[in-house]
Amino acid sequence: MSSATVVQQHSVPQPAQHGKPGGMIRHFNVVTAVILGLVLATIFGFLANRLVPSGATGATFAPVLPDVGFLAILIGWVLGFMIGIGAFIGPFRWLMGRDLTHADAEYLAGKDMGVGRYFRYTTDHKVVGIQYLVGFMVIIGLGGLLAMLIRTELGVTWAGVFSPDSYNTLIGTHGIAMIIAMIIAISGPVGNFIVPIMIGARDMAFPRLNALSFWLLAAAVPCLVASMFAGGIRDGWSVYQPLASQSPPGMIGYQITIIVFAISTGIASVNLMTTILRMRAKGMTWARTPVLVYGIFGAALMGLYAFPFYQYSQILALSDRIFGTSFFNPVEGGSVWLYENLFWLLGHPEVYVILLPSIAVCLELIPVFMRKPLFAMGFAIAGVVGVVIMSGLVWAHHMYMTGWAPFANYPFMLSTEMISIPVGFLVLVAIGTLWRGTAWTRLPLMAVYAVIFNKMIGGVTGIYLSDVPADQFFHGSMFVVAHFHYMLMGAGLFGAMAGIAFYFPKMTGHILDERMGSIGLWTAFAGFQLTFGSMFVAGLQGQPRRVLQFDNLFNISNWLSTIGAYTIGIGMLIFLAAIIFSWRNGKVASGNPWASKSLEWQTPTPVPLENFTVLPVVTERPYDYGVPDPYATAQKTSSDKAGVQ
Amino acid sequence: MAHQTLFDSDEPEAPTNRPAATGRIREWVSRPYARAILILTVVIGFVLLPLAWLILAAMNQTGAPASPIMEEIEKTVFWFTIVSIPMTAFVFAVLVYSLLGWKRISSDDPPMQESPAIRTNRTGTIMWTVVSSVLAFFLVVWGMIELAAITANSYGTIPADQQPGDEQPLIVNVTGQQWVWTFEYPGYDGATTPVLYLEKDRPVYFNVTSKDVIHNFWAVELGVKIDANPGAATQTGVTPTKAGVFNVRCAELCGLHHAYMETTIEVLPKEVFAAAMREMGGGKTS
Amino acid sequence: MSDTVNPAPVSPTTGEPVQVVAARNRLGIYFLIVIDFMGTMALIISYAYLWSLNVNNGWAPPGSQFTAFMSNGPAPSATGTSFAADWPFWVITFAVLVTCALTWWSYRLTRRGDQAVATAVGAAAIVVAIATLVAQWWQISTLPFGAANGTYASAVLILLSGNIVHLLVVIFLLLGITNRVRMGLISRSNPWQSQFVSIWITWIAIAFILGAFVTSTMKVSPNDNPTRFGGFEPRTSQPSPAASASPSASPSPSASPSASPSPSS
Repeated sequence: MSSATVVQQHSVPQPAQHGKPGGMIRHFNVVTAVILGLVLATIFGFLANRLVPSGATGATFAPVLPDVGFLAILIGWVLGFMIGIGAFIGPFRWLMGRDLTHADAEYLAGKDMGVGRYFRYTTDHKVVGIQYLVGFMVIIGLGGLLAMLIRTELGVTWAGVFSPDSYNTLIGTHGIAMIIAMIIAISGPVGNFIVPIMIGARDMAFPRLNALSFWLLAAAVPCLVASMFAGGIRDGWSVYQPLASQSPPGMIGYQITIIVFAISTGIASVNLMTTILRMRAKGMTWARTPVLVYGIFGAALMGLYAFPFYQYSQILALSDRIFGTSFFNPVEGGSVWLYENLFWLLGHPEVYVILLPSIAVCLELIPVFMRKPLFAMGFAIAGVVGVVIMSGLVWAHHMYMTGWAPFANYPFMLSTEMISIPVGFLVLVAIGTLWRGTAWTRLPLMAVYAVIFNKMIGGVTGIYLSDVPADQFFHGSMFVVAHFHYMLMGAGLFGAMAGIAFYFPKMTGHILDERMGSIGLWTAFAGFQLTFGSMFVAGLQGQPRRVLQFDNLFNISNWLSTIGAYTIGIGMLIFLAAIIFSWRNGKVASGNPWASKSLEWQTPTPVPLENFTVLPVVTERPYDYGVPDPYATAQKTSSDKAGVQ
Repeated sequence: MAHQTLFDSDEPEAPTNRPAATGRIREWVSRPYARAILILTVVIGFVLLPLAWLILAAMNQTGAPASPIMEEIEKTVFWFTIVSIPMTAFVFAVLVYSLLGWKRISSDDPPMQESPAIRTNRTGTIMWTVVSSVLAFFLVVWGMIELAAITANSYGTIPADQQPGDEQPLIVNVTGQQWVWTFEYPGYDGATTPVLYLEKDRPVYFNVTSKDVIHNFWAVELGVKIDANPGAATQTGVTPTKAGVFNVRCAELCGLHHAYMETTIEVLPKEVFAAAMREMGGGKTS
Repeated sequence: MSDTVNPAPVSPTTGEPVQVVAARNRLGIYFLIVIDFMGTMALIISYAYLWSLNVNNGWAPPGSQFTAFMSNGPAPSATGTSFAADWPFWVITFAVLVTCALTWWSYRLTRRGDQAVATAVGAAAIVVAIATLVAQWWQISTLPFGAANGTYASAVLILLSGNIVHLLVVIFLLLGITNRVRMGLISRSNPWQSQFVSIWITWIAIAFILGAFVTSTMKVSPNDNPTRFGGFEPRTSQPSPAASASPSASPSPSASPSASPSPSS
């Protein structure tokens, strides 16, 4: 612990140690969580079954029991899971005045606990980071599997692999699973594991909230999976009302997932922001703060203000469904535009919640591999700030064609096209840092090349979509699907791969296998170009999105897309194999295998509990690589000579 | 102050008697890498250039453009492609050159060699900012003008009955419901058809609504797209300028048979249209 | 931080000075308030949006403006009454303000080291908060409409449900903090948690004021000629400037369909 050897004039009452360190939480882990979750789900389901009269119907003459029953089961699951993991012990202890002793806090952080700490309500930020990493890979695996199934249907339309209902379920579940996965992709693992070390802190600001945010996510995702067995989410990831109100009870799975996930994201954002604002090491001024910290902070800030709208849109929709209110039911006075506005008030900032950390992690690692400082860091920060400010002002570009306010199209087109300027700054910083550098072509840097390439294509196609007249053709077509996959997958997921490859040695203690990882990366990259390049063509030809049958005109582009999608699948499996193989028995990494100069690489690997024995003091700007520019010195001497003459 | 250190350049203070701008540009271009990147940019730009026409070719496969609106859309897409090619080509050129042109190391150990410590470059950043701002400004101005143009060509600011020209515009009430489109012609005794009949060169106004969920009325080759919202009516319009058979698709997921919610548009010459309307039961022309 | 108060008391859990921990926690509380504020704004935006649109004439609860359009909607309630009365909103808001004042007072007393009185005042705050919860429940259960009676009913009920959740959180916090003051864990040297609870309750009071404000100012919808669901009936009259009972019935700037030009008229 820190050397707090001050004379205590006003003493703070010391909490008493109740029993062994940790207290009640010693008895809880993921097994008790699952058991208690299932038990409570069963009890709640049983109670719903008893309390709702059989054959009861709601206002729309639909039977009430499936909805109420499924809702009760899910609430039971989430409550039971959170009780079983020990999430309610903290508030209870606070209420009873049984504060944590230092030994309690160390137990909670998983001191001397071995692998078991990954399966508990462990507060150490490094444990939470690893949990997020695994959670991310599990969710993205689920979403990727669904994507393969979607492309199977679209590639062999003559076979009719899925019924329309199953197909719509695939689309909706794929969409929301991938959105959740990408939101946590970097802010989760890197934000939790790396950022506190990077800024020289011993842990996050609120370690217990940190554990809570992960375990809420762990409670939410099974609801999404359960929904697939209760009729599914048939309405795309945006679940526009009132279509969603026609859905089977599976929709409730979506709503509960989002409501719980929004809480998880909200407290994770609070935690990250407070950590970054309050816990930077001595001497780490804003100018000395690495750009990744800015990126994560920006993403957390957007999550903070945007997620409640999404959460409340789902709360209102759930209320419509269960209590018969009519927020989104036009027959009784509800408005579909209200839903669209609430949804997209999150929906667009969320895109940048995914993109900003991804771009920031790329900017963070380019200097290390190019052995030169980050180019124009002020522009990088201006870019992040600009994106954060403007992302809240562009949501209605998703609603150009809804007719809700034709004259609003002018200002929203303006703001949407203006956001290309801050995003352009980030590209400038990236290519400026590549400029004249010596490329150390390791896997993380190569992934950055893939990201910049995809980002450019996504950005250029984005300007068509930002323009109302062009959007009048492209809205709701496959062109949009290809565009946002270039952004969220091409830039987001490949950026996450870059970040994972870069921080893998610090997080796991092993080097990610270069050869296998590269094969995976480039296979996925090639497949990606084929899949979504062809999808652009299908969109240009006029194929609407989310269809399972289409005119013969679109056959060729869809076949190519499907071939590409399988290639992505193979590439991603290879990359996953590289991760698993390297994690288990890869080459052991030294503390600083990339010879990076930033703070997180100066700690030993594996990083000890509380990270630093003595808290560091920062005295330099970040990215202090490189030698003086020969051209600049040549120019200077020549101009000096000119001055002398 | 933190801000000062943030935006300070690491370059040596610019001497007051720097060489003239032209001289500096000449010096910069004389550097081998600069020349190579410029050439690479031009080459990549010319490789990408055909995209501008290929994109239009893909859009025109089913007979577009069939209306002034679609022509405006295609013009927008064409020029946006053209203006975004130079910037894209430049970025790609830097990517390629940084891998192939400048030094490259692929050892397992961190390279000992350090690169030039370029913390910023005033000329470069200013140029990038100016160029990207000018491009964004161009996009906005172009977009505003085009949006005003298609607005005037569609629902517009002028009421339907005050449009110039001797012919009254055709009014069509479009109703979406799961999973069919219904077209009602109030000017023709409310005749109702499952296929959209339009008259060539006669402006048509669509009132669009839905009876259940949100649909999206997309007349593909005419460049018309508007949501069919339950509980609200939206307006748009177009003047078809090409006779032929075109597509209507639903562009908003609307449930089970969303994929099959499509129909055709028949743009007919004046006499044929009148005959078709009579056949549908709408004898009276308005 | 550390040189403001000479030897700072140290947090037993992390070993940092309590002021450092307190500053961090205070920032966290502010961020949590931002989240809750955004959520409350979502409800208020929903309320105002639905009020301004009055889709299918479904805003007002049955009994006040029963029109032909409502005939395929929900059945009118038996009582035939309409909008909720204003005064319960404001009475409950006043009670929350009292709770808020008591909590701040308790915090001041804690800072002064007056543990016994602080505990007593905290207990009084708990009593008021529980009474408020009961009053809130009474208001919901005596409203002259149910959840299915149009969008006004929906919007009001969701706001009041939000109030219930807020009150439950407040009661939990007050119970905890008062217990901790009683046990001496919140004391002169470390009074910060009491301050955080007070900050939170201040926000809750603001949320109640916002809710009471919108429910008592936006009643009769300004759009008295709304679009009819699923049809194209030509509109009989131009939308007239909003009428009667509502004290501030200026049309909302958000787009209402009746404002867009109608070619079919």
